[in-house]
Amino acid sequence: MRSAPPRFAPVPPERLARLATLAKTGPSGPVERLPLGAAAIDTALGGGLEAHALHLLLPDTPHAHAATAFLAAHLAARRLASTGGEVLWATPLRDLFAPGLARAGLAPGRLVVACADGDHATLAAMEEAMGAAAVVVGEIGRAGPWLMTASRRLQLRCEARGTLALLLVRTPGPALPTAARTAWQVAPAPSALPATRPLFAGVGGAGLGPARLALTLARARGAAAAALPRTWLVDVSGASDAPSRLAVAAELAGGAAAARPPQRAGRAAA
Amino acid sequence: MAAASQQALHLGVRPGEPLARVRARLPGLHAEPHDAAADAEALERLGHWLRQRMSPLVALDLPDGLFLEAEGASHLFGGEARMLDGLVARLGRAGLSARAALADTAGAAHALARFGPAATLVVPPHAQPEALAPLPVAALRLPPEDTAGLVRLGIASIGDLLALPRASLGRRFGLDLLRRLDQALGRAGEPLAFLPHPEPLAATLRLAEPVSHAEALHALIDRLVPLLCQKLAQRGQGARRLDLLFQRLDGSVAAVRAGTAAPSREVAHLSRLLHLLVEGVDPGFGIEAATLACPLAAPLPPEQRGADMAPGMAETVDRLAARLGEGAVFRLAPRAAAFPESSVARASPLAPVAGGWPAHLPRPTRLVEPPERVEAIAMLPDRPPALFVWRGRRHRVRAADGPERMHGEWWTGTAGEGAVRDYFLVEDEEGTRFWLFRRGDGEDPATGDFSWHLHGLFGG
Repeated sequence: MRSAPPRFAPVPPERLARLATLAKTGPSGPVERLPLGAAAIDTALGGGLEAHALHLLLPDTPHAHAATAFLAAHLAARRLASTGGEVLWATPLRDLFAPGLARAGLAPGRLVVACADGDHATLAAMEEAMGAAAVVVGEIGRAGPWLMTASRRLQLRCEARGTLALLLVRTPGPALPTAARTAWQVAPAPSALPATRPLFAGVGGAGLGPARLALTLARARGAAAAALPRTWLVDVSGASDAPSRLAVAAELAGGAAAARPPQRAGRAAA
Repeated sequence: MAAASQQALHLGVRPGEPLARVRARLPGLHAEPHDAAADAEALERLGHWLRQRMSPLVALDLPDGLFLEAEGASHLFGGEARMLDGLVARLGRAGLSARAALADTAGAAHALARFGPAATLVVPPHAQPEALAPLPVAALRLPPEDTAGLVRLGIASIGDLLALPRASLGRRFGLDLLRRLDQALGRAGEPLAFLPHPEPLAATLRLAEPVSHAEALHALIDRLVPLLCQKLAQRGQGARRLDLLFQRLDGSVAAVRAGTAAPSREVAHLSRLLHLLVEGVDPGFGIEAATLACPLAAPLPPEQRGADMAPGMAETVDRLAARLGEGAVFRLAPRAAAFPESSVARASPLAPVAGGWPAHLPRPTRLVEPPERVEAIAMLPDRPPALFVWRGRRHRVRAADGPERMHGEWWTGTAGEGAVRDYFLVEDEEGTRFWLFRRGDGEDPATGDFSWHLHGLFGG
């Protein structure tokens, strides 16, 4: 029966013991890091995202799931540039548009999609693919307290297999505590318009500049709670055959709230 | 005594001594009857072993040597000196003590390998006379009685020979001596009988007319590589080494060798390697046949053909497909199509994906499929909407890019669907970017009903 979600096997006691030490001390020794390519953020992260770890990307507005997917493709392409290999993208959704992912730098020859039925199947597929795939991306509908256990499993597996895992959440919501190394809230932000501002220009013309995203580092393992959240405005330029480029336009004081346009509060209640 | 082990040599045993005398001195000596045929056989086996690993052209130098053609092969080992060091070290690991020398001629290499000052020695081009001069005349591959005759006359080294007038040398010691001398110095050619290539993994082209220009050699590669790759595919193997041998009109052979890091039978990849190497080949008077052989192959499962999948990925894909259902694991491959929703095809996860999409055009990260009808306010014929309503929410457009006109496939299009779409990339006041299109060209209602639709969301 495919409808019944696969149940996770119980975690062996020695793993739990290791988890307990991990939770206290974190991994020992220098960790491999994946720079985002945006200098200010990479500095804040101590060189970039931990490469053998799980990271959470949450949308901050109802349509930001396109931005989380773009960022995931961007990070995956950057990771593949040093490791080679493939990306396994597990998702129950059918709306990924490969030409758009290619503009983030993720070539179709590097991407394998696994259409999982539901959140549990997605997480199980992610776990299965780690090690063989250099980067594993998964999309789940909604984050919840249950994600704590699942994210621990994924994080341990990332460390053991040397895999970068990105978990995208479809529905906007708060960044709950998980075992992921970092959690990001992603929202589109009004972009800087070209200096000469034609209402429209031909395709490839100067009608629109790079898209702008507000990236909020909501949680980071090992970071002082008072230092978070931090929000950066990042300009994103798609490229065709290389990882897309990120450039920090500004850091916002006061965290994510300042990045949101005023009408957001009304929408969140809907 | 024909030969002695390293240990026996240390104890003072010299090849050539009568066995009885040695036995008297060393009662514990272990001796085997000399079997020249078995020695030659072993040497030939070693030659084939080296032919697979070092150089495509190997010839026997009986009773105790091998010739390897270094040209066209030394690049695989990081140069000539490294090739020799690697060769001796490799033989050492196999329990064989060997000496090696590399020179312009087989004769010089033969002499220096046996009488040279070091276990491995590379003679610079055209330096044979200097390198050979201090060596004893025994290095010249002459019958033993001739060598003895020279020594009796006080001619101990090759340098002594070279100091004598050439005409008198021929008269006094015979043409054989002159020939050997000329061969060692490179004044005369020496055809070597290279070991045959018995590989079943080979493709040969014989030419009706000899060719000698570079384009023809490249064309030969283009014809040979697919033939070989086909054979590799039939055996489920990939090439680790490739030998391209050109048979010249005068019977000599020019060879280049290519190596791969991982077994491969990708035509494009292997062709590229050979095209690079063939530049250095001298066609001589013309080439009448070409052979592409694969002396070293490794298993390469069929599913890895073309796609450079990471190890274990194919198995993972299989496990995921077993868990999620047939057809649930796939690639998103480019497809030539008029409208975006048809420009992506699901392809087998193990099939290689070729090509891509137009790089400079904006394409959304998520596609809203089927496109959703929106109410929009826009000026005809070619302005982007200033405002649109999607799923009950108003979006005011602050900037836009477009239009990008797409023409439907009129032969499949249904009336009313719209044969033309004008796409716009618009950004609303929050910064969210949408992909909208209007049916029709904005002027002729026959091309579409001018209704607006939302087709995708941009992430960057």
